[in-house]
Amino acid sequence: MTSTSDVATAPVSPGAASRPARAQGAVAYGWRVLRTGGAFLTFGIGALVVAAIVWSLRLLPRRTDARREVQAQRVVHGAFRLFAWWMATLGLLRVSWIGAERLQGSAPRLIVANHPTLIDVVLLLTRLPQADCIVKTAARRNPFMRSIVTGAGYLANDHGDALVDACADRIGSGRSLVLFPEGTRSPRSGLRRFQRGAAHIALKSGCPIVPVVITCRPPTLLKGQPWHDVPDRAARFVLRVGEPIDPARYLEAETTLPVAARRLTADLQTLYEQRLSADEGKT
Amino acid sequence: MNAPEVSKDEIFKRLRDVLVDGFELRDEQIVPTARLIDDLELDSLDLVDFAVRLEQQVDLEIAEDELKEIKTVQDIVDLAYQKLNAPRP
Repeated sequence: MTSTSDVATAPVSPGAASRPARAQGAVAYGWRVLRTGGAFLTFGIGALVVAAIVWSLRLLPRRTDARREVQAQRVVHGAFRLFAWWMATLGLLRVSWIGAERLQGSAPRLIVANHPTLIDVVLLLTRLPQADCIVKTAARRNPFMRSIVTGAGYLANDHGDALVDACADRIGSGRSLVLFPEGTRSPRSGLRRFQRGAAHIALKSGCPIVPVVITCRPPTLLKGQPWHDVPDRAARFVLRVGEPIDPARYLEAETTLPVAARRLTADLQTLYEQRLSADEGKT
Repeated sequence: MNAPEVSKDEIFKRLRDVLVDGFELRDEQIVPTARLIDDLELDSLDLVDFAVRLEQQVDLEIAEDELKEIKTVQDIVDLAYQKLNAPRP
């Protein structure tokens, strides 16, 4: 039996034991960076393939624009499923869904989510064969992305007030929409102040809001974080789909639309803050 | 006598009512220096709604380019004063 004193008096020079550990850590880090780089490279190549497929959809005869857009969205959905599987296979992430059945069915929904990482939309669309998205104007100008973005009928965020009408029209035609009410990626912890566009769209269309709370531990692919700044283990994503919120209950008599939008947005923000705070308490 | 029909004080009071009733703001938030976007947190959709309410409740028509120039409550008071007291044909 080894006594405590034997261990304590063993002749170990300072730092000697940590050198192999550091070397192992550097190798493991390099391997993770390589896998992450490989995943991004795959994404880039995949985007070109998807762009070519989406472009070729316009050659199909007797298709309306709306039908072509929905077909293109299905192609994006399939590609994102493949990419999420590939990232999981590379050991870069693990994904858990809670309440995903609330996203099933063909009824139009307004799906809102917080936006902690670069790949939130990828993960959301793996569960949504049809979903309209709002993209940055820059994505429409990017020669690689333009074919996908326009082919899938994604909306540009430069339309201002007209964007709400365009989104409500899409929902009115039976399509679902994904929206990040923070407008951009979340800060490292917590949330940005929610913009009221989602509430206005819900109130105008009457469509229920389906809230999805996304957490990622350890944090990765944050806004401003370089892609090679990878965590020491696979990022665990949890996507929790909440109960749909009916906007009609915010439109009581004597309530103006701006007031209803403010109340709905405030409730939505509170819901996310409470959920994220509860999750934070568990970690 | 060519005294203005509507004083700036009166316009300010009417404007305050529109903002309090329409946007759930508090009376004390509505001061002449309050900025519509930064202080009162009106977004672009609210501004459009606000313009409609001004037309309905204050009989003040604001063109889109005029709306873009408005930054503070005082800006609207000044614009309204000018428009509401302009000689009518």
